[in-house]
Amino acid sequence: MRGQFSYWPSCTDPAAKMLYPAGDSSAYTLQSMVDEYVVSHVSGLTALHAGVLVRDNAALLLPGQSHAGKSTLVQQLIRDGWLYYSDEYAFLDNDARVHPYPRTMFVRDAQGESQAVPVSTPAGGPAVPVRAVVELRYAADAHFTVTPVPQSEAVIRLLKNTPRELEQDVEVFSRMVALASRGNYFTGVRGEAALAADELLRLFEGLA
Amino acid sequence: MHQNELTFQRTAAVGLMAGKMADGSVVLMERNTKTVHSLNPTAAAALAAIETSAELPAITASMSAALNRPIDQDQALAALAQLENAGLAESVSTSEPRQSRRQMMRAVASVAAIATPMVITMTASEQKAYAQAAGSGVSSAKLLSASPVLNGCAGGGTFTITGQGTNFTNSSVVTFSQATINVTSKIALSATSLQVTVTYSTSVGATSNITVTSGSEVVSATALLNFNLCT
Repeated sequence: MRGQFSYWPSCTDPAAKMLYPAGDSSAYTLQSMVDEYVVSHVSGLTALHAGVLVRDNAALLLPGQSHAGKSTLVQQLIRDGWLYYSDEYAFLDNDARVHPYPRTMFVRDAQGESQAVPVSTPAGGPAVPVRAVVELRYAADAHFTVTPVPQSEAVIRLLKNTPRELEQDVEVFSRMVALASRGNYFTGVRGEAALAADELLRLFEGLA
Repeated sequence: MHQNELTFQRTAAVGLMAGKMADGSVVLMERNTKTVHSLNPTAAAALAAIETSAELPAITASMSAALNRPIDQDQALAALAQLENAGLAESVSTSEPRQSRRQMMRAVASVAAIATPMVITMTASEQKAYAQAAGSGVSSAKLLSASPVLNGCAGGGTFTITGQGTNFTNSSVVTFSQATINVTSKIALSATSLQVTVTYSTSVGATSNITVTSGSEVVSATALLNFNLCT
């Protein structure tokens, strides 16, 4: 996928540190513009709004809109040894494999402004199969609870999280069916990120 | 009218792209409208049973065989009622007015006590709205105006950005093509109206592009903010 673009600023490129200086909230605007361009111009892949972490050559997808707590959980999972693929978009091919989009990660500060967060560990890698998709809602003090979703309902949930419109890109339907047919789509609620990360690891390893 | 006299068939909408899933559920997309339907295994079995016009006893038997468990006629009717509501099935008996058949099906469905929906439908317009919220590059949001014209000699001022289809909040980030313009405060008066107070150099140019970022929504306009030059 990286080969489709002449330049791709990722979280670990030295140039990205100049593009996204600490404390400069306008960096989020720049990154969002890059995202918009990639999502609308990438060919052969369909974007899904999701955090992506990889372990044992398989991916965990965490679908959700921006500022829903995705990046906080992604940060925790990276600290726990998962390989960072993206905190914003999963790019899926026809075989339901996810390609890396290790863009600079952003989290909101106390003032509600999005700030770039460096990722110091290696990021990205080859396209890998998706082992689990877990759609989590954050609630303070909630216990981690997930339930499996029927595969056909999973297709609708995936279509709610893609920036591609069905009316303009029918391929997205086939790709979401391909992903949902692998099974292992869960919905649920989480509380504190560290506890949720432990539960996600247990769930993920149990599906191997 | 006895329920055994009801006859059902698929509607023309079922000229669809279909995905039969490993767990027995089925997902369908209508080719013309791009409406997507999720059918749980019971509803999928009911739809399969009416590939050709069929009466309720035959439908019930077919569903039981497909699901490998007993299905009673109330369960079959509940599934058929949900398929009919989704526009995927219709009752075709002419022995009674259509309204009376629907009323009977709804009554049966209500006493079937189905805990979870068997058919979930998402229209193309609903999917489009979700897609735009997920950061589509084809978002319809745009900036319409920034007023009033600011006095370049003042070194600062307040103006209002008016958008269309935008989702402004107090956390929206406003940036300018002219580097000397800095935001000191902003208030979202509504999702489409953002009041911004700025400072700037008295040598500021006549116009500036504006970009407003609200979550994943990024909206820009060229030469939107105007200044009376300080001479």
